[in-house]
Amino acid sequence: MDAASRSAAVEEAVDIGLRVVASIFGGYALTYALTAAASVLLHRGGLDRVDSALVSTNLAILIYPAVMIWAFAARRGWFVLAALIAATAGLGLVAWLLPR
Amino acid sequence: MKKTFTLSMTFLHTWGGLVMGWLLFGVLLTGSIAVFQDEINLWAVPEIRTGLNPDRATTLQLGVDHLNAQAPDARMWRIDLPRDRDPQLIVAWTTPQGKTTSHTLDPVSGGVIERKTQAGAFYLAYHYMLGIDRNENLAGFMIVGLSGIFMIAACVSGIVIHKRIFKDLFLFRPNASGQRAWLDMHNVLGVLPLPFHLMMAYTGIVILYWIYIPAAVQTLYAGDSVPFRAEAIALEYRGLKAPAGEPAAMLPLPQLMRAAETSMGADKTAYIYVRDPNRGNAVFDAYRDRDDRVTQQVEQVALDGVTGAVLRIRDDSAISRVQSYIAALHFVEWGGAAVRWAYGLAGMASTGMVAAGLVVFTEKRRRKAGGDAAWLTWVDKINVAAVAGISVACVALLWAERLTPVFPERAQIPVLAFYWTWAAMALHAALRPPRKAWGEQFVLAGLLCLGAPLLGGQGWRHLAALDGVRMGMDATLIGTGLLCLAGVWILHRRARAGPCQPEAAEVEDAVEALRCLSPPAC
Repeated sequence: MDAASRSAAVEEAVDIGLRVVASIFGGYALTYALTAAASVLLHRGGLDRVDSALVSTNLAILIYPAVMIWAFAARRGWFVLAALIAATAGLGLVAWLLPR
Repeated sequence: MKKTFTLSMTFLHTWGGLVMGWLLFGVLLTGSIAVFQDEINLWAVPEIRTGLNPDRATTLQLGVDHLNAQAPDARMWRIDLPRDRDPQLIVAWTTPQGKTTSHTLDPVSGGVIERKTQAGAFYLAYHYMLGIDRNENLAGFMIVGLSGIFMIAACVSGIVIHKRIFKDLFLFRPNASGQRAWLDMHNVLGVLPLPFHLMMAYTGIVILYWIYIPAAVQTLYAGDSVPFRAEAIALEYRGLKAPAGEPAAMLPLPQLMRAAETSMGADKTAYIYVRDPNRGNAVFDAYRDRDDRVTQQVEQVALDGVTGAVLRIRDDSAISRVQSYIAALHFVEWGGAAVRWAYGLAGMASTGMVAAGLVVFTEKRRRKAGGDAAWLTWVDKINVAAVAGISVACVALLWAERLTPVFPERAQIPVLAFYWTWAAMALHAALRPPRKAWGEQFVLAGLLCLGAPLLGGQGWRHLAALDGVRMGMDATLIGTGLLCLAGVWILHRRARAGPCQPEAAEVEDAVEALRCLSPPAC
């Protein structure tokens, strides 16, 4: 294996690693943040506490397999990870800044 | 990540499927078995008498008398009344120190059944938390949840990469080359019950959604799951820290049960909690049976234990009822034996789909590599341990149930037998050539299945007593054993004969494939 193909192989391994991390941990973080933000918004919108928790969690969970698929379909692994971190932070802010 | 969406999905499906498949096979196998957990418990404990149909009020009083003798000062009692599927009386109590003990009683004589069993419960515990108690460690529980999420992603990516999904629905070419036949099997078992796979993967998470993703408990309940559970599950949720009241005489429990059943329906109480029994603040909580309706969160009536006043009748919101319905689709305590068998068989289809997928992985690569690459051999060895090994372990658990004598800590022995057997099978897989290991372990599984009804002569006793449920379990074991042996024999014969048409892997035409199906070819 020459140097060029070896560095290509390393690059591919890093890319796959980023996607695996993004799909498992990024997917969980996004689901968590989406649930948090949606639960607060629903509750503010007039739904009671239990129903807000129920609806937000059980619907937000569906985004997790979607993230898994996207993490492997997207062109760049690092972009997936960056986008997930940004979206999680954004939703997290919504959840924490909105008054309950 | 690859050139096209289809190729990216192939990568996810293939490699994710390999790693998660090792895990999912055991989860789906034990889940399919756990559908019959009550029947398995009956089979494992010969002392439980069936067909007694005892008077419910008398039986309840038997349980109360036992609890009053054992633990009049407990913080909590639980009484499980005998039901058709599970005809034993179970009483449990929790001491002020938080220690819970349970006794199983004969519902007519009131005698204690000393034989403690985990048989059915262990399959369930492995199914949803890999046998790791989630109250102590969430790891197993969360890993199973992740595998459920992956199963949804795998179903979607599987559809994407499947070129001719409807045509292949009717295509099974068992006599084609190995890889083709295994791929057909993977497709048939995967595509036909696809709605079932997707439904079970999602509904499995909905059951305990707030533990998987506790975000809403964090935002709306300040992270405290106790008030959340009190609202969402509507338990009379009072921790042991709340003080117990002064001693007081409770109303007779059968009378309280009758009062609770005016709203739940006659004879519909499945189990009862009594918080702070024999105290002024005693609360009697009756939970309704869920064998006749698709609900997970059962109807529940809380009465004051001393005055009999109604404290609360459970009233769920519409949204709660939807969640309860979705969760019950997974838990399947409704619908009786027919629905249980449908779920058990569909679950075995899921299990078989994963196994066939794992085999396709190695068959395809062995063909490409042309020889036996070392890493591929190790993948095959892990496949053997993850598929055949855990199958043997599941039957070994039943053998251990039969062979372990009655003593206080016996319930743990069959569980240990499960793990040690699995470890031994993994070692065997590591030492033997994979092709031989596959056959040897499934022969062992088959023989263990065939032998289990004979242990201790119990099978004969079931026949002599015309004991329907236990005979059904024996028959299922024998059928499973014969299937294992037949499968090994067919594969062995085929391996000796070689593929019937060397190029059959390339057969794309359904007509030609059907010709290959006809017997004279081999």
